[in-house]
Amino acid sequence: MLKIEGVSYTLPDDVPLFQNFSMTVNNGEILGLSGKSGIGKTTLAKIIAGYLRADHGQINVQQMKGKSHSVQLIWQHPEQAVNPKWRIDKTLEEAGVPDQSIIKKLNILPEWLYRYPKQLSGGELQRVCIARCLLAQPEFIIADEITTMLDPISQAEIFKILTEHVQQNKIGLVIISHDTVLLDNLCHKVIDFK
Amino acid sequence: MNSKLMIKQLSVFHQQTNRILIDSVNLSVDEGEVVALVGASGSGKSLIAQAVLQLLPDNLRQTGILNYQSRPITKKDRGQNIVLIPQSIDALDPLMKVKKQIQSLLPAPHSEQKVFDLLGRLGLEEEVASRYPFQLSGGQARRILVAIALGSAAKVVIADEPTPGLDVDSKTDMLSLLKEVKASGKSILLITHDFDVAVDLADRIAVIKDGKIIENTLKENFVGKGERLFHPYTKALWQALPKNLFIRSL
Repeated sequence: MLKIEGVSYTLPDDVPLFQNFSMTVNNGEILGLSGKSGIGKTTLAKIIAGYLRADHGQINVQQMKGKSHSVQLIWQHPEQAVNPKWRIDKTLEEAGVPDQSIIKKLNILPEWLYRYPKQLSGGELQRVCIARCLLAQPEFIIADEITTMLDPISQAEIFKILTEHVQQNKIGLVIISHDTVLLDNLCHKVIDFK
Repeated sequence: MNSKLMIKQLSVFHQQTNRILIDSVNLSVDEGEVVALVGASGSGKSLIAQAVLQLLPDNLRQTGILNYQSRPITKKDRGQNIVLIPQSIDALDPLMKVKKQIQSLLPAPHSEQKVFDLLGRLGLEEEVASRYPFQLSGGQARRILVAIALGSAAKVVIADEPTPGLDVDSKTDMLSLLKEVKASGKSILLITHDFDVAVDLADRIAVIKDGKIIENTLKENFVGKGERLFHPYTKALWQALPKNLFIRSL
């Protein structure tokens, strides 16, 4: 279980971004988070994943497998989430031994492994980033607007693979999106972040 | 046929390798019409805008016919009769105040009142005119880009991916700005990966895949399960939308 309790975050100049936010994600649960831009969804995602520290409140992860990288964040812009000077094989190996079933599930072609990030399309590179996330064997995944830049078919493919994988592996998934129709279709529960 | 912009047999090649990036594309935009060109990233849709405006990178070569009002497009047409609403708000000159920026791109006379009228039409205060781009919010900057196109004498506006990664409110906002441009009687070539935007704004939708236009059809044909669409890829795109079959379409 991932438990977020009374989390607050203040921007420089003492502007409160959000205050006293709480939510719980169970293993195997898919939870949607919607809300306007500028409201702090990405900041919250970074706090949950450990990239930022909250001013107040707690993030508690009750681990089942006892692993250190139990929360993984998938970013909106994959090209900003990889080292541009690393080939795809090295990018994937960073997350652990490449599990061929995951590579196959995400339709990552063998020839991509020897390319650099710039030599893949946005949709292809996002699939690499998702593979890297899954290879780290997380117990919780935060997906922050991961298909905003993609065409509808790539978007549907990515969410089909991701939602099936988390259900099979009892991973908790938080999908952050401005698209409420998308969230209603994929999530067990949708929270309007205000 | 009174077409404002006509693209005939446009091809774009890679200079060194001769690899074809755009393959014999035909597309026309009639007077007052909005034509959307939709496709995945890497499909080549932005190259078409760049080719029309002669903005292709140096390593690419173009062939084919580009007409404005049934005659070849001249250098003078670009910027005067055909304008671009760029993808990024970074296109504004960071060192020039909004007023001067708009004035420098509008047809004469460049009166201050004209700038204020234009800003007012897009819901901006006069005070915005005296700001630098870095002092604008994202929404304000996008309004300025649209204001420049709206205030110009151009009959054809090319909007290249006008809603990248915007949230619902900003997207709705941008759509209403583009509708304002449409209402002014200008023709629009809208380039987007966002199907919702295309269906909302366009009269006609052309679908591009691997550098080829595979379908060019009226917006009204995007209904139901896509029975009225011709190409399987267009059908698949339509069915993959979250409001349609989404992941059940795969």
